[in-house]
Amino acid sequence: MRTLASFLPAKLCPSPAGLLSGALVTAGLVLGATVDMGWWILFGLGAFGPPVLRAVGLLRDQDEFQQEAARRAGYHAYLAGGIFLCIVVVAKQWGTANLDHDAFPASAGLAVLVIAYFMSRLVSFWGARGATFRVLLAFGFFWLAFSAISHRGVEMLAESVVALPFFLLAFASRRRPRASGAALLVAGGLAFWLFRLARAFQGDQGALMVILALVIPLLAMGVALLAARSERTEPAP
Amino acid sequence: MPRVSVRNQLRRFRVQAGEMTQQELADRVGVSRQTILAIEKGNYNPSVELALRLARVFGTTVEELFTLEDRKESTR
Repeated sequence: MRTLASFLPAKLCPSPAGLLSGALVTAGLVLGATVDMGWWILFGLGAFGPPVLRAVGLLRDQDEFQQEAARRAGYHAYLAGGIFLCIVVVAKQWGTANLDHDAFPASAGLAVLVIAYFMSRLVSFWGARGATFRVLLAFGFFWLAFSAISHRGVEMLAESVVALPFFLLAFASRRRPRASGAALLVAGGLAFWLFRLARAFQGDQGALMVILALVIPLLAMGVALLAARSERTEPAP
Repeated sequence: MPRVSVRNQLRRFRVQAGEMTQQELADRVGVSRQTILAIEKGNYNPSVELALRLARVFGTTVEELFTLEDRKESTR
């Protein structure tokens, strides 16, 4: 059987991941516009699936120049998307002092962009273990400060116990990064279930704040620890 | 910090190596042809690892392939 590669010159032949990605994006757009917008899930899989697999090291089909081009494009997309969402929020909320439902999706998207950007920078700067250690310590100390300010006596002590898992995971992430990464993914999933955060998809701003401030950082650190290279190449915190 | 740019002799070495094509060189160092093209045009400075692999193909040193040159300030 003749393949696409046999018809096209090598320089014009897209990679298997590129072909699959293009097919999914096209199918998602066409089916979304003609049948049901739910088919946009195919668009999402095609557009973001391969880059996510590359980011966690499961797909290695690009050389360093292509990776550099993708990183630069991602940074430009961050700037363009961030500026655009800022303009949308400002335009929708001009003259008010709160965030109503009109500007809620844009502000949520903006928050995801900024959080993802800073988490990624932390990991690039300190390495996965160093970044996780610092982020979890910060969570722990933040919770201690919150407990001290909002409670007194026995209640304060009881609230402070919540900070303990953060400190334990922070120190565990330095010695057992893989196990800690898995534990962080489980913790993120548990937090989503325990706090019933699916309400965020119905417009619950409080639930969305918890997702942005707690669940996404936990999941991001978990993925970073699991995707980190071996200890020889990963700088120690 | 002085403004410098990286110059490379990749094309000259390819010609000297029996008119080796960009695709052949790309295959030997494990990158795409576009990467070799970008390096030759000065649009991309390779990693130390890739620079060492390129130098190994031509049996030379990285310093022979890549040099730092002072960038001339534009006069107004």
